[in-house]
Amino acid sequence: MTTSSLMPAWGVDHLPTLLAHCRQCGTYTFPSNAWSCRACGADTLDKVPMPQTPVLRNFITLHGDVVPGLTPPVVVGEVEIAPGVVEEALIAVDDESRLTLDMPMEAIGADPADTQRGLRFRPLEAQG
Amino acid sequence: MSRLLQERAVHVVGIGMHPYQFPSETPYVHLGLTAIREALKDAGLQWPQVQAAFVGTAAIGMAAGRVMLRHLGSTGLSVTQVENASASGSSAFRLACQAVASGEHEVVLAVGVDKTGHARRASGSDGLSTLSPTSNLPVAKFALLARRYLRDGELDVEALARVAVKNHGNAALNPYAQFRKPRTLEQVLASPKVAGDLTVQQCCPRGEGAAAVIVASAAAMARLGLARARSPRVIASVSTSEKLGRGDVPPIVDMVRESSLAALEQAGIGARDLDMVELHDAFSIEEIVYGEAIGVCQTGEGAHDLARGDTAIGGRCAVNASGGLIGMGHPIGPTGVGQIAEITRQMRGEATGRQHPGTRLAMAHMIGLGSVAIAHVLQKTD
Repeated sequence: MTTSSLMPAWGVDHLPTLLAHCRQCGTYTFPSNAWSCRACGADTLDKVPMPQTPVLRNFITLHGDVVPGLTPPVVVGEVEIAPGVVEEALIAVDDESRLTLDMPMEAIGADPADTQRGLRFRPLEAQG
Repeated sequence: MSRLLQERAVHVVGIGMHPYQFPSETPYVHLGLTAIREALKDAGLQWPQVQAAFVGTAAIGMAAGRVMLRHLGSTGLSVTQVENASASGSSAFRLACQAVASGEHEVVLAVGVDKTGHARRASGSDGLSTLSPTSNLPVAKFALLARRYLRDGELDVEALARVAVKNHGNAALNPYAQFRKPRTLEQVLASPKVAGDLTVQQCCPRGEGAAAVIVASAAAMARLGLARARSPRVIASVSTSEKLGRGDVPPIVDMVRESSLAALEQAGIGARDLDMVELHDAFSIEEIVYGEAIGVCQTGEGAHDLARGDTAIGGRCAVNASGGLIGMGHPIGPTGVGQIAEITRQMRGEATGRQHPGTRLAMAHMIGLGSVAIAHVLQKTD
């Protein structure tokens, strides 16, 4: 994943400003450096943190070697990070048997051995 | 477009294909010319009679059309290259229909031709980062959709695999298909897993090929002595793009529903009037959910209808009689044009070995990178 001032590798440092919130229509947009609101197109956006505890809405295991640098098996989920904003994200578990639908999640940083990807998610219960 | 198609009839008068195949050293010009020459011969036309060409391709490069078409003779015709991801060929066909329906031209070529490996996606150049490196990976997106569908419908993985069994079986009967082997349910399920519940044999292959169709006005057909009975009429053409999601319905499913409904309304028919549908089954789950979104099957019934044989050749509405993207292949640029060729062949009764009986109304529906949709409805001409 290329990084630049426009394309940050999302990490825990970015959590306070991960999303954009539209002053015009109140819609949340990911990422926070989006060019405009995804709903109304307004460019009056405020950078905000996730307004809710992220929730796991769906998940699978990627078995094939289909992303350069990503060694399968990898668990991929759809995580709701704001009302109406559901994003694909890497789920930091060894296998999907630990996951259940609608479970609360928390954002964590990259695996130390995996410098290309910033944010991952894990079940909230796993903290500590 | 609806008014134009009603006022000035557009007919498919010629079809041609280069078989879809695995990536090779064959130059794209050979692929494209093979399909075009076959379409000209099929129509009984000479190249100078073609007034405009729309060339659907996603991976060959800038201005591929003229480089290829000059080998047929430098007639000075209008040449336009069309890129719309997997819907490139469908978009080329739509533009060809518009060119005839508008009265600008009378005889127009739509050709799709592609080689793999050179396409670049704009989604990686928008200056924004995704949360996951899989975010723009279709197989992950559709594996997630498949998991949701199976869970909501309390279905097992065989429901998905039956799509591949049907479409590999249809492709085995199609001389233009990339895969020519029937597959059993056991083989599909035993092939290596790619993502979630999707196995390799439930995913379309990478490949190359070409497809060409020639469209003409009714006036041109009469003037040139072209046979009406071999020339289905295009009665609807619709193009849409994805909107924001609402509730639990994935935006792509909404897009398919809205685009196909608009096409059916334009055609003045209902989904249950369709005798066959060619649709975008890059992954097995797509055929099931799009079939429901189009209305060929009721919501939640797609897998059951498939298991009953309702969407097989000879069933209530044949879905992907060509073999679909999974079996026939998906070389990108040609795919949407190839759908039109298959429907035309079926309406003529010339789909030897895989003929769906009594095909009078059919839809071709393609999606481009999950964000644009193109739908056409064709009607058999007596």
